Amino acid sequence: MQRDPQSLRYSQLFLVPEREPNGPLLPSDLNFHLLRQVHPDHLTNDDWIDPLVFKPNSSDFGLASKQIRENPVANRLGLKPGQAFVLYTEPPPDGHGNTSIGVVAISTAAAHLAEVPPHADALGDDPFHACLDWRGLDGSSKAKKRDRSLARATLLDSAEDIGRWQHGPVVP
Amino acid sequence: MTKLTLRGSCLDDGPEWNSDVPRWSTHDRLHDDVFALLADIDSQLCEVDALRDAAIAEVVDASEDPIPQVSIDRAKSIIGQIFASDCVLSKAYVDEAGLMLRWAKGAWRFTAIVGEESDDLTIQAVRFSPNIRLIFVPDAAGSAVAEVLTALPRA
Repeated sequence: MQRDPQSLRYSQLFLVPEREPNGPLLPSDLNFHLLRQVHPDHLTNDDWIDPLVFKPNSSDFGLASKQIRENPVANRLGLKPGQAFVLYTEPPPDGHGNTSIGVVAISTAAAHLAEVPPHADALGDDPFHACLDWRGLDGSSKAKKRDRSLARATLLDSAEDIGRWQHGPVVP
Repeated sequence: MTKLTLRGSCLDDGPEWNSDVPRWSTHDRLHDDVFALLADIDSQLCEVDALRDAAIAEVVDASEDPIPQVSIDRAKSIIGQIFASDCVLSKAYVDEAGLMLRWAKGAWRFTAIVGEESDDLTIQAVRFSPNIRLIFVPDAAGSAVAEVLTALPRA
């Protein structure tokens, strides 16, 4: 993965261990959907989302979490949006106890277009966990900021293309 | 005079995303898609003759330096026409690169980044089928570069 040599890596910025995705690169497919939880801070006045919902947070070290959506037609195992929401929000031991108001979906084709490669990334308690690898867009240069902004716009386009909310929004 | 540069790339059969490799001379299918793409833009946005002609010249002469050029003024002209026509701004927000303007037209979705400098203008066009993305962007020297990034769906 090419990186801006002048930039700090996410692991250096946030003092967390860097790791690689646990699974292979996912194919570019308009019907291969990845689910994304939406924090209430990213809800906009028009009941839609801020593109920053796709920005990796400090604990992601460049690998932004998603979940693979099931697709019975393609014989693809995964979670329904409602299931992903419950897993994310229910307190332990049933879930992870995080905050979300709903679920949107993006396609792996959009992730490839945005140059944030989608990977399978199964975790112990979340076998359908996936991630988008933002490390190739890491850096503080103007060009990298532009590329990240456009990548988020592309992912937002995909979420709109798929039909906006796949679960919720459940406004508290 | 600022310039636009046209580059091309695609997803090959392998797993790697080769975003920096010009492949005009080796992918007939990409050529066809680029022609169709430019014709589509031409019909929808009008007045992209210079960009289209440059791309056609580049594709025809693919064995040579694949860098045709048109002016940034042309890109700005296109933007002006977009908002002067029946295109409707769907969303405006600020991201780390600047003011983001979004709209859609037909099967295309557009995003423009308007930065602080007079020539700081980036336009992205995305169409999810057949998975095509174009970026028109200024380069580091202050010239304007149009990158055409084309990701073809796998067979």
